[in-house]
Order: sequence, then structure tokens, then C-alpha cells
Amino acid sequence: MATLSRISLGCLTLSLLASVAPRAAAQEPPAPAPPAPAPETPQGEPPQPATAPGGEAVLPAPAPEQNDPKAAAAAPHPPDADEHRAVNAVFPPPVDRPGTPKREKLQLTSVGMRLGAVDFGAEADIVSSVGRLKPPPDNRRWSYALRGFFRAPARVGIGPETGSTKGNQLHSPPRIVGMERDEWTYINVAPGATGQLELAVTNQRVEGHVLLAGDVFGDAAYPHLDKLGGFSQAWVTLKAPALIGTRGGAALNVGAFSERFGAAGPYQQSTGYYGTYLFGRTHVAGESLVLDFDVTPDVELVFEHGIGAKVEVTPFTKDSAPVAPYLPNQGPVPQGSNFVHHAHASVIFKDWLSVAGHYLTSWSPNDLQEVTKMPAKEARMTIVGGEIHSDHPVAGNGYVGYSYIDAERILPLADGVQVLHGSSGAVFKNNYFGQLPADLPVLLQQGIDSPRRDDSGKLHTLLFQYILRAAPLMGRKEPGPDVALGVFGMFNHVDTKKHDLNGKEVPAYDYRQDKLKFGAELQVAPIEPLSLGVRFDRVMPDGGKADVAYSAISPRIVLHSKWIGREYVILNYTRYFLGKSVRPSAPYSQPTPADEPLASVTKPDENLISLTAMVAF
Amino acid sequence: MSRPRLKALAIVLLARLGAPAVAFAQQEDQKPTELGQESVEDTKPAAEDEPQERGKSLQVSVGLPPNSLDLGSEADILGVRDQREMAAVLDRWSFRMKGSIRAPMRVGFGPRNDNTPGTEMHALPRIVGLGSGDWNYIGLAPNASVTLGITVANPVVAGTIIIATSHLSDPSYSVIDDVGLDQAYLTFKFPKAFGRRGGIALLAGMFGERYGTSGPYQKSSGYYSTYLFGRTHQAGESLTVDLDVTDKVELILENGIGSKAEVVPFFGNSARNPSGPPEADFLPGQQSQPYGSTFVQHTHAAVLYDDWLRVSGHYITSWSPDDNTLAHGHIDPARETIVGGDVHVDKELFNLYAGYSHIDANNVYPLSDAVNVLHSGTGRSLKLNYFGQKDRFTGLTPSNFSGTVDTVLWQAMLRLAPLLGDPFGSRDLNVAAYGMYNKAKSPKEDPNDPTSLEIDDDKLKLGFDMDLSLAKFMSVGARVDRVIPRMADTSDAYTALSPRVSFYTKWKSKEQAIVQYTHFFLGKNTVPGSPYTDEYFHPDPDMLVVMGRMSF
Repeated sequence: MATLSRISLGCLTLSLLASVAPRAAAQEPPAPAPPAPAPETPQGEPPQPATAPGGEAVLPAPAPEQNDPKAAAAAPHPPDADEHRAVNAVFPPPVDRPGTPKREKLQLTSVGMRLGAVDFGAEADIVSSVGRLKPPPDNRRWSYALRGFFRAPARVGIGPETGSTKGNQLHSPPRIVGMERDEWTYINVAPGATGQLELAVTNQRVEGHVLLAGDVFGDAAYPHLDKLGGFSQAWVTLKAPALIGTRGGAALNVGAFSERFGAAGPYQQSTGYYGTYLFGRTHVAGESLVLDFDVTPDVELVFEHGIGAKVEVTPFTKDSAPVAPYLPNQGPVPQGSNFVHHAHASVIFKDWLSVAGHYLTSWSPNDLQEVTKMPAKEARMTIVGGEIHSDHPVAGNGYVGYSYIDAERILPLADGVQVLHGSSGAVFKNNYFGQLPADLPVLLQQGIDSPRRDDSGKLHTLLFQYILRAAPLMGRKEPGPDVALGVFGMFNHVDTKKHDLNGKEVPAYDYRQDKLKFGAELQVAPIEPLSLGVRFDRVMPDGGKADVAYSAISPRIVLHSKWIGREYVILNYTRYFLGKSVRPSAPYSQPTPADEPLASVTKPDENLISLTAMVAF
Repeated sequence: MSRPRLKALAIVLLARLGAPAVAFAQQEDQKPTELGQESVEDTKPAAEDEPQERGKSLQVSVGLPPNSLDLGSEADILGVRDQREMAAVLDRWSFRMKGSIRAPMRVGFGPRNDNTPGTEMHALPRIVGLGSGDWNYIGLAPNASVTLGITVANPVVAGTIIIATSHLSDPSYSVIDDVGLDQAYLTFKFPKAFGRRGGIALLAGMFGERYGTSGPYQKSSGYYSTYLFGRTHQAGESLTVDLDVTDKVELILENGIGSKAEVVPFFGNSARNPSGPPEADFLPGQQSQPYGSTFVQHTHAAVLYDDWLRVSGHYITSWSPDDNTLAHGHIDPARETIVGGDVHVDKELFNLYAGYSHIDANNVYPLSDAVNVLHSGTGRSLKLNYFGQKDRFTGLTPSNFSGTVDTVLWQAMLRLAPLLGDPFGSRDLNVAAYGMYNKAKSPKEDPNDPTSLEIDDDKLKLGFDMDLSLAKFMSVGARVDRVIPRMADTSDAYTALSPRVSFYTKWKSKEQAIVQYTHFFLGKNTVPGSPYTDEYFHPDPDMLVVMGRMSF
């Protein structure tokens, strides 16, 4: 297919989307179609007919006389018709032929429902306009959009041979520490593959979104079932932009969608260097109501409140559960119904300074626990805190935020809220309150409680990031050569009482732990398609204990088409300086404890080379 | 409001979320609007008699809106400086959407499963060579396939994301390991790197490249749907130099390197999994030994003459350190190396292809499918196709994992009607002849191992196809194929005769509806192909295929 302009792709997308829309072409009255906007046609190719909803080609409606031979005969000759006859020409004069009669009705392709027609259900039948006899929906002011993003990395680790601590063997995926986002040791120097496509239909008051996403590209990997993805989110946004007159309005998001709070990147457009959320990312179906209000022309106040529930949690199989890295992980205990309630307030000053406060709570009645031995107790995680974003055109992009998390018996919590590298309650517990003893899941699954579960506690976190660029400081506003310096870090303080000590139950004792990771990056962009940079990271999971800490230095070359691009090819090399007790991450540590051959992998790769392509559109 | 101001306002609105949408208005004068924000018309200044509207866009979340894209810290430090600039940059991108559909109904007619007399219908058909991963495959009944590719591009770079599946769930079942995102890659183009003589292109990301396709203009994999030199399945890069030596002679050089992003993990029986890994046709399948990390390096050169002659040379090697092995001590790496060359001649009245490849395979079992060559996706598949298949009657599988395969692949297509003086008017009469010959050798490595065999097989399949266009919308054709897996013993050889009718909308169109019947003349030892294994011994002798296919 030849390259399409936006308009022609718009028509294409329009037809694609409209083919699944309720306003099926076959259901519309056979009124003459208005002339469709002509798609821009690539040079050298014949113009294509416009495409109607339903995917069938529709020609512009013929003039009445073309459809009616009699009318054509009665129609006056055009003024130049006689001139044709008057001229002596080699070729015979043109003959006015009546147009071929054409059926005005659309061709049906099935006696039943049109192929691909959407079944809206009885709610739509009685409320809206799906039925043939009801007036067609007013779709003249809808617009359609296609957006997407992918990151496709090749990641190769160089490290010890399997079963040895020596050698330089190539590994893909690499056997590095901090490989996955669900680990506290993750520093985002080699993020995994991901891709998403979003289709949206919008008008002034309503938006509908469908988002397809996955974390594996099957051609280059294997069918990792848990990452293959598919339909990820779908929601509707109802907007009342003039609810408070010219001072602001309200928006209501309803459906299955994910919101992210505590993103450290500039303009809170990315999750920053550690790819995590200080307050949380919701994964629920529900609603959120947003009030957007201008206190003064320079000061904007935004309130939000939302509530939601996990549609379904990973089912739990008590005996002989299938276990594989490519299957959903059911966790050590049954996950219960999971609910989320959150409220937020933000003050925005002149588009460059924002101060926000957040409250999120995720809880479960633990309703799927085995109850023959003891009644179920609620699981809850509550997050409160605040943050400041400063995105000044000259002073740079700064972020600082603090969050306090109170966790209470969180093992049964699903991923209603994903926070600080903890997607579920069990993962959060392992990251901050210590690994669950290997012998405990069997007891917990039988409904026998044990204080050694140690899944309650408090976490204080400080997250910061600052990026400063030389060019704006020197007064240059146009894109061009630049030098940028970024510094970033996260500090966590764990405060809990534990009952497990070296695999044995002991009286409750205070457990406090400081976790710190920080780093800096220097990036130089000397010419338009190329940037050079180097990043340094220090990761200390347990205070000053050097044997579990590591450092990483990562020089990189970035290729891009423009000074400010949305596409990058990044060639990154990372050298790890590892403490003696540092272990490789999943999949080489999975399941825990690992079976062979993974059990023989004890020392992580010290070198990593990654080549990553990514684009957003 | 003037149109330029309206456009400027739209850009500001687009920038509010940082990832501008590409919106398509149904009305010509309706401009793109940012998702999650108000439309332009929400913010346009009202007439004097209307209340003034707010100039800002409506926030839909205190945090990142659900549709906001998180590019990561690399983009933060490189790109984000001013949101307005970002929107302006994206203003010059263009979009393409390409796709293909192949949706067959395949029904076999063969012996009853209960071994009583009579015939029953089978779907999937129990035919010999059903899957393209089987050397016996001749492409008569290809499986379903749907791909959809979206490309966003500017003059320098193009980003492509491809969704693909080989199973459609509605008429099938949920084959959960075969759906979703398939490839994603960036193409950087420097078309003037050598001035007017040519340029350079860089592919990076996760993508597959195909070498040794016998179809006309190397645009299809030909009658056997396979690759003489290989198809890569990898994450990595490839760099291509395209240079005009003279006005008619073009030189293309390519080098690429990549790795499998992840291989199917291995589970042994353990205390935790006493019954071993979960196994089903719809789950990723491990083999009896673990796959190792798998890497690819490939180099190619092609000379094009006047757009009708292409001569190419290829080198591809795929290897694994066998790093997930259960064995201890020194492990020999697994490697398969493919070298060879091919010639394409594509003129108006005929298309010719001939190619030769040599495969040198060593300890290939741990190789994952980084290179799919000659019907063999993985190292294990190569071994089974060329170094000893499991004998379904004795149950024995040779233990050979190393050897060589020499292959000649050819295909010729001829538009016969013009040469005969167009006896059918404007209707075409096309004929084609094609074939593949393999010489597979694998030495007996262990004289004490009765399953280690001395393998020296000649394998041959060839065929002839003819197609006559009866009308503008229809053609009839017939194809005959002869398949001999081992020329020394033809008891498992077969012949297939396949008349067909094809419908389409134009002479040269990209859509077809095909009705095809095949009768197989089967050797006494032919057996059905995967997934009909082990307890299935009698292939269907007849098959009906009704298939719709299209590309756009």
C-alpha cells in the first residue's frame, strides 16, 4: 500500500473503526451519501474510491439523471455538445449515453447480522440508536485516532559459564541483577520489550479508547503467554469542559483503565530513571471523577477521586497448580477480591510548577482464603504523600516526592495498585519485608496462619530527579547541540516487626532497613542524529552492606532523526561492579528456589550490551 | 478564528499530554485533537453574544492519563524540552497500514479413526506434510495467517509494529500461544550517504528477514513456502549499503547480528513439579534438552542488473553456547552455518529462480528458532527433517545431531499465452515448474550407539502447475507434485494432484477465493504430519480446501 497522508489514513482508520461501530452501513437508511472528502492519492496511482463504514467501497452518489435514463434523455444538452458536432474531427463525435442504472441500496453480505457487526446488547437497544428504526447517530463530529509505542531491545549478557563463576559466555536474556521492574534492584538500564496500540474515537464531550498492549514480540522471542497481551484497557471519558463556566470543568473516566501517580519524569510524562510509581499505578475497572478549576489565570486546581475493582484475580489452584514462567503467577496464597479507592489534589502554577497530594488504598476482604482453620482477615495497603514537579524552561526539570505506605497482611492483595516496584502484595512484601519462607505457603494455603508471614509494615520513600540542560541556560531556545546532566535517586526506609529469623519463628522484633539507589547521567548531543552519554548507578538494597550492593556504569550511543525525536536507537553497554552476594534476577532465579539448570546460575553477568529501538507516535 | 491560529492552538492542545495523537477528522475542517483533552472547538473563542470559553484543555487525571505514553528516562534526557516543539516535530509524520489475510477451510477425507471400513471427514486434515515445518510440506493446504502492520515514518526514520497470528480463534479454539505483537523495529534511512550513487539503511529492533525466496522478484517464498538460506527471528540490527555501480548495475551489501530475546524455558521433573512441565499444543513447547541462548550473524551481497537480474550470495550462522544445559563440564557450542547463492531472472514473460545452499550443522539440538531454514525452525526441527526422523513404526529416533545438507531449489514460471499467439484472446495461460533437491549427510558418531546412524539421504520434491484465466474474475488450474523423502526407498513417497478454481475481482488483484481439491497417491509407509503423530498411521488420501486470501 502506498504511503498515506493523514487524511487518507484517516479514511482508512475511519473505515477500520467504523466496521465495528454500531452504525453499520447496512443499518443506515439508503440516503444518498454526501461527497466524501477525496483521499490524497500517491502520485502515479489511480484514485481509490472512498470507503464507507462497513468496509465496502462507495462511489460518490450519482446525479439523478444518471440513474434515470428518461431523465437523462429529457435533460438539456450541455452548451458545448453542439460544438462537438460542429467540429470536423478524426474521431467520431461523443455519444451521450445514459448512465448505467445502479442500485441505490447497499449490498447485503449476510441474511443475518452483518459480518463483524457489534452486538451492543439490550441496554443499547432500549437506550440508544442501534436499532434500524431509530435515527442514525450523529457521527459528523467524531474523530478517530491511532497512537502507538514500542520498545524492542536486543539484550545480551556476558558472564560466567553455566555451572561456573568464570568465563565469558553470551546469554540472552542476560543474567543480570535487577532485570525486572518488579525488583527493587531494577534500575532501568535494560528495560524489556513492550508495545501498545491505542484506537480512540472522540468528540467534544466523549472519548472512547481501546488499548492493545503486550510485553513480548513473538517473532524474536517465544510465546510467553503471560506477556503476550491483547486487549489491555478500554474506557470512556465523558467531559463537561464548561461545567464551571469559563473557570473549568469536569471529566469522568469509566471503564477498565490504569492511572499513574508519582511519575518522576519531566512534566510527569514518564516514570523516570527507575520506571516506577511513587504513589501507585492502578489496574482496575471503575471510575474516576476529575474537577479542573482555574483559581486565577495562573493557578489551576485539579481534584480527582476514583474507585475501582480488579475484574478478576489470578485463580488459585491448591494442588498441582501448573507452574511455568510463561503462566500467570498465582502467588503463595489465594488472591482475594481487590478494590481500590483513591483521591488526589494538585495545584498547577503557570504550567511549570505543580504540587500534588495523593491518597490511595487497595484492600481485599481476603474472600478466597481457606477458612476451615481460621476466619479471613482483611488485607490492605494505604499510600499517602505529596510531590513537586518543576518543569521550568530554563531551570530544568526537577521532581521530588515523598510517600508513606502502611501495609497490613498484604499477601492476598492482587495488583489493584502497583507501587514502588511492587506489583502485587506478595511482590511488595518480598521487596521490603523479606522473602517469604519457603515452607510457609503450604501452611497458608491450608488456612493455617503464621506470624512468620511478615507481610505487614510501613515504608517511607523519598524519590527525586533533576535534569538540567546547558542550551536553555545559555539562552538558546532553538533545538541544537546540547549537554544535559541528570541526577536521580530513591531512598526507602522500612519499619516493621518481624517474626521470622533464619527460618524460625521468634518473638516479634523490630526490623528497620534503609534502601538507597542513586545515580547520574551525562548526555552530550553534538550533532542532530547522534547523542553520546554515560550513566552511573549505585544500588544499595540493605544500607551499607556492600556484599549485596552493586554499581553500574553505562556508556551509550543514541541515534535519532532530529534534535527532538520520538524515535531512538540506543546502543548501551553496562559494566556491573557486583557485591559478592548479588544474585541474577528472573528468569534465572525463577521459580524460587530454582531447579536445574537455573540453580547452577549463581553469579550474574558483569557485562551487558543492549541495542534498543523505540518509537512513540 | 483564522486557520493558522486554529492550527497553532491545536498544536498546543496536542502537546498537553506530550504524546500527540494522530487524529482523523471526518469533516475536512475538523483538526486533530489531543486525546484526553478537549477538542479545538471546545476552546475556540466564541462569538460576542456567546459566553467566553476557557482557554485551557480539560485535565482528565491528576497523574498520567491512562493513554499517556511512558518513553522512559532515555527520552527524558534526550528529547523532552518543550511540549510545543514536540507537537510540531510530529506534524510531519506519515502513516501506513498494511496487512494480509489467509483463511482456509481444510477438510480431509480418509480412513475412519476406529479402523472400521469407510471414510470420514477430518478437520484438520490428516494429510502428509500438513505443516510448513515438515520437509514433506508442499504448500497445498497452508494454515491460517493474518498480519497487520502499522508504519509511522518521516523522511529519515520509520517505525513499524506488526501484529500477527497463525490461528483465528473464532473458527478454531484459543491457541493462546499464537496471537499478539509479533515484530517492532525502526528503520533509519540515509538515502544520500553516497550522494546520487546510493545510501545506507539501518534496521534495529525485533524483526525477521528472509533470504532465499524463490518467488518472482523474491516477493514470495514460492511453491514450498520455505527459505533456502533462512528467515531470522531475532532482536538486533542489520545494516544495508545500497550502491549504484553503474546506471544499470546495483550493489547491495548487508550485515546483521541479533539474538533470540528469550527461548522457551526448560523444566525438568523435580520435587516441585513431579509431573514435569505443563504440556499442551497451545502452550510453549520445550524439548527433551533445554534451548540455549541463541544468536545470529549474517552477511549478504547482491548484484542487480537492470532490475531483471539479481545474483546474491549469503552467509548466515546461528549458534548457542548451550548455556542452559543440564550437563556439567565443557559443552561444545551448537551451531548451524548456511552459505550459498541464488539467481533471480524476472522478465515480463517469465520468472526464473535457482539457488544452492550448504548447511553445516553441529550439535544443533539446543538451537532455538533464530534461523528458520528449509522447513526447519529450530535445531531440533533441522535434525528431524534431515538427520533422522522418528520412525513411527519402530518408535526409534536416530541420535544424530550433526551433519551437512546441500540443497538446490529452483522454480520457473512462464506466461505461455503470448508465446502461443494468444490463442485464448486476452486470457493468460501460465505454467510453472519447480523443485527442491537435498543431499543430507550425517556421520555415525558413536559406533557403540545403535541409534547413531550413518545417514546419506537424497531427498527430492518437484512439481508442475498450470493456470488458465477463464474470465476476468475466474481461473482454473491444476498442480501435480511428487515428493520423495528418501530416493533410496520410495515407500514413504507420495504424489498429489490438485485441480482448483480461483475467483478474484481483477486480472491482477491482491485478493483470491480458491476452491481446491487434492488427491494423494500415497506410498505404503506415508504417515500423517504433525499434529497427527505417534498413534496415527493412515493419511487422508483426499482433501478439500476453500481459502480466502488478500493483501492490502
